[in-house]
Amino acid sequence: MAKKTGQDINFGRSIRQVLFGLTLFFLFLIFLFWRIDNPRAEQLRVSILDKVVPNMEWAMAPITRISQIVDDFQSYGRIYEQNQELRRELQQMKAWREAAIQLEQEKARLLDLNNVKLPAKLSFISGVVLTDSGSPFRQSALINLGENDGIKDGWAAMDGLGLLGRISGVGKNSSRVVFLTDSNSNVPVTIKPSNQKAILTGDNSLLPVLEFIENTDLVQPGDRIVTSGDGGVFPADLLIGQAVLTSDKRFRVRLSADYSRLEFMRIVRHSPGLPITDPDRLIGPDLPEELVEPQTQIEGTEG
Amino acid sequence: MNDTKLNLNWLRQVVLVLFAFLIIFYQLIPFSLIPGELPAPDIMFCVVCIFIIRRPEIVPFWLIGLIYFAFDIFQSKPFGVWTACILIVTEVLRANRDAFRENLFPFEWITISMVFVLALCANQTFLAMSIVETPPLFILLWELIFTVIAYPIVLFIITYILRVRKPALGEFDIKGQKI
Repeated sequence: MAKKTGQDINFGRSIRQVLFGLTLFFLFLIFLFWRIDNPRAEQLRVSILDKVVPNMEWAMAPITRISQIVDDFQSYGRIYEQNQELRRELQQMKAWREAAIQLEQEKARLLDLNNVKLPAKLSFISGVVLTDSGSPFRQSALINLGENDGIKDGWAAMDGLGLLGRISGVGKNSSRVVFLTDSNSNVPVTIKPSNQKAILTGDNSLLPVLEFIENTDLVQPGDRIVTSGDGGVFPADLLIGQAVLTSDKRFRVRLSADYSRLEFMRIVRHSPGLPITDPDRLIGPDLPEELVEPQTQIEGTEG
Repeated sequence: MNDTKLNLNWLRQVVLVLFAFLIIFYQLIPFSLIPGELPAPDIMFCVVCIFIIRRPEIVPFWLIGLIYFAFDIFQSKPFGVWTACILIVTEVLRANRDAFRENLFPFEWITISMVFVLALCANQTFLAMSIVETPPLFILLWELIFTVIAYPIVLFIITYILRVRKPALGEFDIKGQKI
């Protein structure tokens, strides 16, 4: 630097300024691209992660494993309470199991009487959590299933019991699961047993909020929350959790899925049923044209 | 003489990039998937500021841009905004770096903290203006507090363990830079 003449330095400085300005402009353009064509930009992000993360897995896996072992070790500290808790829960489970078996038998009898045909059972594909979102502002995880495993955007992710979130962004060998706790997550739900519809909105806390409840008087803390299947993204009747009433007089949901020890998740294969477009052909022979009402609508509800 | 110095800087930049990847790597490890966790300090910001005040040639703006853009990608942030904010404030720091020459550490600490606040505010304002959902304020506050606390620690490590100091004091040990 010291050897250069003043003119050289000035020249270099102005070039530098131009380059700096160009960089800022370029960043602004990238932001515009992200803002305007968000799905494509996020797809780009996923494909970059898809290239990088599987290569880091060999280094990441042992560290993740060690942190889990440490967690397990810490939980030995309260092993006695846990044991008591499990005993109590087991007792309750037995009662429920009895009830479930009885209901199952009754349901089978009724179905038999009605000759009902049930929809095909949902099938699962299981994946391992690779990474989290890398930021405290986003609640999501990357799993080791992608396009090659037939994963599609929008499919539901569950742990053994409850709904965790949905697939959002699919790469070749990995895909991102956005959790119910993320502030971008909105899921249409049904509150059982009052059958009210609501929207479950994440807000970066462990208890997502129930919004747009039709009649809050009919909702009790402890009510079961399941997916409603509206919008055709999720299958209906996946368990989400239980309603709780927090001190700010809002209904929130205690999630059944256990986020704290998440290693594996199940992705629900689901393709929404085809809408019925041709109502008059369903039953009986073709009617004469003048008898057919032009605006007949049959809503294709699922579940 | 000139040649070896150039090589050294090149090596330091590589180490800096590796360090950035280490940070990304650490953040991506799924330690806990429970929401409401406290954020980590922005160590990279401390490192970049320390180098800009002491050895600005090690951290040219394009390197800062590249590192922070990688952060944007891997931390699921909006593309480019945080990078641009960091670039602007570090450029302001760089232009005024003579002011830090004679001054003591408390002055530097306060200034850097203010600069970080400025970057956060700029980021938040710009996101709010373009109607993008902004991160909750209390998390940002924690990030700010942790970063401010981390600054002297990072500075200590860089000055006394890696031996990067303010004035041009002779040669540098390559081994001293290795992390």
